Amino acid sequence: MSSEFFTGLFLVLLIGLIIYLSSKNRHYDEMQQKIRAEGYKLGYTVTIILLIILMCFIEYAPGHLITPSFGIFAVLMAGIVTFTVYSILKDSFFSIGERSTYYMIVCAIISVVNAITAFKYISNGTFLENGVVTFDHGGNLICALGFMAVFVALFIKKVNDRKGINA
Amino acid sequence: MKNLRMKAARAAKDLSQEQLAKLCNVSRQAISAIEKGDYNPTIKLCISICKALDKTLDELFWEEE
Repeated sequence: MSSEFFTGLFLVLLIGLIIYLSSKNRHYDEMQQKIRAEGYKLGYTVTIILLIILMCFIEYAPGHLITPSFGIFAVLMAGIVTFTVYSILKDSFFSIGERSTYYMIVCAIISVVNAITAFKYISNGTFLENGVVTFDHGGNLICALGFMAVFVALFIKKVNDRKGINA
Repeated sequence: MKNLRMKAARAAKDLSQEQLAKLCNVSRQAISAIEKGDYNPTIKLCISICKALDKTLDELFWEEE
């Protein structure tokens, strides 16, 4: 088997382990669980609708502007961001007692790093390959936008909480 | 519909939303949403809130005509 397979398998196991360990001591109350369920449903609906649009676009559009891999990545990111932003704005992303500062910093760093890389591709003219946006060179832009959206949601929530809108 | 009786009972016990939330093992936002009438709690949480505030279910959650 190829080394790519084992690298992929290792990454999947690592991510699974991180998720398992980080979710072990988390406690969401009943209201948060309800809102998270609504968020999952919303994210799933957005993903399915966008996938149908993407399929139609790939199948019937005369000239492709994006590759299928880039499109699917963008759609998946849209679904994840939908769930994340929805649950952040409705106070259900973080478990009881969990702080958002760490996530804000991580999101800002990931967003900036990806934005710099995307800007580099755009400025040196390699963002489009034969007139098409590919996953290799366009993925960074999607990551930057996705994490930026999460960062903005976290920031808005923090400001609103400070103002005592939800008090 | 706002739950002013719960808010009054909490204030009478000199508890903040955060403190009541800790006693009931829920988030502050859940307590806030219940008081504002944005969320209908389960019977389990209602009982937990009643115990924390030394009130009965009728006193806090029964809607009078």
